[in-house]
Amino acid sequence: MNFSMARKFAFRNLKANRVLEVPFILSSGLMFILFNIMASLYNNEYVQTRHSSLAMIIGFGIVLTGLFTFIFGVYTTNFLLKRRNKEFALYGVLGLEKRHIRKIISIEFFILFAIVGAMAIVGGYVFGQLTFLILNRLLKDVAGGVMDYPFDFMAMGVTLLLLFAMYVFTVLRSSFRIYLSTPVQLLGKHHSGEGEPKSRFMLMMPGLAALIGGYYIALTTKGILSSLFLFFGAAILVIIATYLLYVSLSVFMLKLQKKRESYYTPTKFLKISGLLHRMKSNAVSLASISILSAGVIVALSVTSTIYSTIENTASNTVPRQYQIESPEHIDQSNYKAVTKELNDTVRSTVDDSSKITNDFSMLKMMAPVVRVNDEFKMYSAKTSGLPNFLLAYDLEGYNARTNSNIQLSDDELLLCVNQNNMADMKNLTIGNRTFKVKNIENIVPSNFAVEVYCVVVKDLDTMEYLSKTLQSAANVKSATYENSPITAAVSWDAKGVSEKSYSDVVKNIADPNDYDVSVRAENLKLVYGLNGGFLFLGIVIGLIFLTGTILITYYKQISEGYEDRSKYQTMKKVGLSDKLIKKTSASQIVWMFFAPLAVAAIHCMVASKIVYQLLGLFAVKNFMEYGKFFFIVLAIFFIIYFVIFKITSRAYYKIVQG
Amino acid sequence: MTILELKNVKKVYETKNVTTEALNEINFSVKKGEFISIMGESGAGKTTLLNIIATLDKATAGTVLLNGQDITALQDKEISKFRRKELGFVFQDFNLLDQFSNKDNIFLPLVLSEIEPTDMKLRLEKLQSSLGIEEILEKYPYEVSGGQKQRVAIARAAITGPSLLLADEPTGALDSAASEAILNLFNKINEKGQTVLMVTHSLRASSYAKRVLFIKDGIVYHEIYRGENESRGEFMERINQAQFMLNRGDK
Repeated sequence: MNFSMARKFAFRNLKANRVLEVPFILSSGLMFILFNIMASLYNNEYVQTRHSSLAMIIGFGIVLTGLFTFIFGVYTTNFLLKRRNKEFALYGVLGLEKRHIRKIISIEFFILFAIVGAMAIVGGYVFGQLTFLILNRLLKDVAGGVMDYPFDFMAMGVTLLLLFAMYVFTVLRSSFRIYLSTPVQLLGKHHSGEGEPKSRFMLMMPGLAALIGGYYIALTTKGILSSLFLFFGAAILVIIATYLLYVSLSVFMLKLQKKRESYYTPTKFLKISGLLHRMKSNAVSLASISILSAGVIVALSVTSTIYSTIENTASNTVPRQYQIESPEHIDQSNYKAVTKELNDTVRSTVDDSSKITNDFSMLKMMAPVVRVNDEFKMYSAKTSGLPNFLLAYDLEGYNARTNSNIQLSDDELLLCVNQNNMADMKNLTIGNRTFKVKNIENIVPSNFAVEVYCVVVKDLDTMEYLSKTLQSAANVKSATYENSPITAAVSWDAKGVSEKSYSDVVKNIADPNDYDVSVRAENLKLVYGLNGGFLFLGIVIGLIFLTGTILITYYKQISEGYEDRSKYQTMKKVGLSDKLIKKTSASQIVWMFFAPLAVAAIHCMVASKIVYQLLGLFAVKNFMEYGKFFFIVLAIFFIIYFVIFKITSRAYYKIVQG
Repeated sequence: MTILELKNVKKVYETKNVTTEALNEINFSVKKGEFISIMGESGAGKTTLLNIIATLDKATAGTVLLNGQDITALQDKEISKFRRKELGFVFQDFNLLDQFSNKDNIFLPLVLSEIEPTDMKLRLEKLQSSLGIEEILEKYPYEVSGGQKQRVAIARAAITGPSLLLADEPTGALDSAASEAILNLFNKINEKGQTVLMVTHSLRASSYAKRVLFIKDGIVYHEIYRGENESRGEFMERINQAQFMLNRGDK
C-alpha cells in the first residue's frame, strides 16, 4: 500500500469517526493549551526576577501539568482506540496487512495530533493573552504593574515535544496491540470489558510506603528553606502513592465487600460489581482528579493567604494612615522636645487640627539579642548562637495605638512574637532584672521575614535600661558597641483631605527635619508590587488545574456512558427497572464524587503544615490565617466540583438511556 | 391449563414515510408444560412477536394474556417486576454481563427480587449439575466458550422458575455440537415441567420442540405437533416439508 492510498484511508476514517474525534481534539487541545500556558509562565519576567524559588515552583508546576496532560492523553486515546477495534478488525478481515493498518493509524493520529498541536500553540497564546488581559484589568490595583504574556518559544518547544512523545507513544501502543492480536480478538475486545482486576499487594505496599514517606516529610519538616525542596519531594511521593493506592486499595476494599452476605442486595450487587469492573481505568482518572483537586485547593488557599497578608503587612507596618519618625536618638533629656516637635509638625500639615484623628506617639527600640532559656543576652561577635531581633515599645504608645488601658509595674512587660512556637516563657531576664511576662496579640510588623520578639515596657526608663543592656554593633569590623537607639514616631489618620496631595504636603514639611515618612497607601502599593504577582500566578495556576479537573471528570462520564450503555440495555431485559438503574448509577456516582474530594482534602490537610512553613517566605506568620482560607477555598471548590459533577452526570444519563 | 394466550395481536412500525406491518392478527395459545418453537424466515416477524410477549415491546393492537393477566395493560412500573417473576430469557448473543462472575450472572434476577442468599445457593445447586456448569461458576463470561455462556444464560433464565421461558435463536451463535447440547438442555428442563417458547429459523432446533408454529408475513400460517412415538428425524422431515409447502405458496 503506498502512502497516498493510506492517506486516503486515513482521511476517510477521520471523517467517518468525527463523532468520537471532535471531543478528543477539543479536550486534548484544551489540555495542551493549559500546558502551554503553564510552560509560558516559566520565562515570565516577574517569575524570573521576583524570587529564585518562584521559578522553581513554576517549574514544578510545569512538570506536574505535563504529567497530567500525558496521563489524560493516554486516557483519551485509549478510549478512542477501544471504540475502533472493530474497525481495525474489519480491515484485517478484508485483507489489509497489519503494517498497512499501522500506516493508516500513524497518518490518522499524525493529523489528529497536528490539529491538537496547532490548537495548543495558537490557543495557548490567545487564551494566555486573554487571561492575562482580563486578570490585569481585574487586579490592576493589587497585582502591581502589568504582567506581560509574550509569545514564548521555549514553551512552544516544550509543548510540541510533549505532544510528539504522546504521538509516538500512541502509535507504538496501538501498533503493538494490533500486532499481538488477531482480527477476532480485536472484535471481541470491544465487547468484553477490562475484566476483573486482581488485588495487587505488589502495588499496595510501595503505595503505602510512598504515602507514609510523603506524609512524614510533610509533617516533620521545619524551617523555611528546607521546606521548599522537601515539599517537592513529598508532593511527588504522595502523587505516586495516590495512583498506586487507588489502583490497589480500591480493588482490595471492593473485593472485601463482595465477600459479605450483604453483597447480594440489589443496589450493592450492581454497584460493587460495576465499580470493580472498571476500577482499572477509574482508578487512574480518580487519582488524577484527586491530585488536581488538591493542587487547586493548595494553590488558591496559598494565594489568598498571601493576598490577605499583603493588606495586613501594610496596616501593621504603618499602624495609622500616616507616620513620621524622628531620626534623633531619644533619652530622658530630649524626649519631650522631640515628641513635641513631631506633634507640631503633624499639626502644621493641616489648616484645621480637627482633621487629625487617632494620633499617638510611640517610642521604639531595636536590638539583636541571643535567647538563652528565659534570658535575652546581648549579641556580639563573641556570643555563640543565632541572633533574634528584639523590638521594644513603650506602654503609653502601645495603649494609645490599640485603644487599651493596660497597667504595668516596674518588673512586668508585655510580650509577643511573630512565630507562635516561640512564645513560651513566664519570666524574662534581661541583664540583672527579671520581668514577669504577659502575652499580647502579635504587633510585630509583618514585613519582618525573620523571627522577632516584641516587648512593651513600662516607660522610657525601662527602655533606656534595655538600650544599655542590649547594645548593638556600631561598627561590625572594629567590634565596637553602643547603646541600641531609641526613636520616636507619631502616627495619625487624616480626614477631610485629598489623599494624594496630603501625602505630598506631609513629605514636604517632614523633609527639612529629616523625618522618615510612611504613608500606608504607598506602602500598600509597594507591597502589592512585590507580592501581588503571586495572586496573579496563583489564580492562573488554579484555573489551569481546575480546567484540568473539569476535563477529566467530563471525559470520564462520557466514556463511561458509552461503555455502560449496552450493559444497561441487557440489565433491562433481565428485569432491572429504570428506577433501579438510576439509583445504582447514582450511588456509583456518589462514590466517584466523594472519593477524590475526600482524598484531596486529606492530602491538603496533611500538606498544610509544610505549606504554612513555605508561606514564611511571604511573611505569613499566622497559621489560622492559612487555615481560614484553606477552609473557605475547600468549601468553594466543593460547590464548583459539585456543579461540574451534576452537569457531567446528566450527560452520562443521556448516553446510557439513549 | 393455558399459560399464554395471544388474541389478534398486531404490530405496526411507522416511520416518516413508510408503514410496515410486522404482525397482523396473531392468535395462538400455549399450555403449561409445552415446548413450542416458532419458525419463520428473516423478516417474518418472529423477533417482534417474542419482544411483545417479553414485554420489551408494545403491541399496536390486541391482547396478550399470561396466566390470565393482560400484559399489554401493564404499567411501566410493574413491567420490570413482572418480567423478573414470570419470564425467563435466553438470547442469541447471551447477554451476560462481564462485570459479574458466571455465578453472579445467574443470581442477578434473584438478587433483584431480593431473595435470601442461602435460598439462591439452594436453587443453584438443584440446577447446576443438569446444566453442567459447576466448573465455570467462579469464572467470568469472557473466560468461557459460547456454549458455556449459553448454559449460564439458561441457568439465569430458569433459576427464577418462570411461568414461561423465552428463547430467541438460542443456538444462533453456536457450533453444531454446542447447539445440540443446548437443545438437549431445553428438552431436559421442559421435561421437568418448564414451559418453553423458542423462536428460530433452524430446522434442527425446531425438531426438539413438541409443537412448531410457522409464521409468515405477520400471521400464523400453520402449526404441527410432534407425534407420540415420532422420532426427531421424522419430525424434522415433516417440519421441512411444511416449510417447503409454505414457501412454494409464494410463487
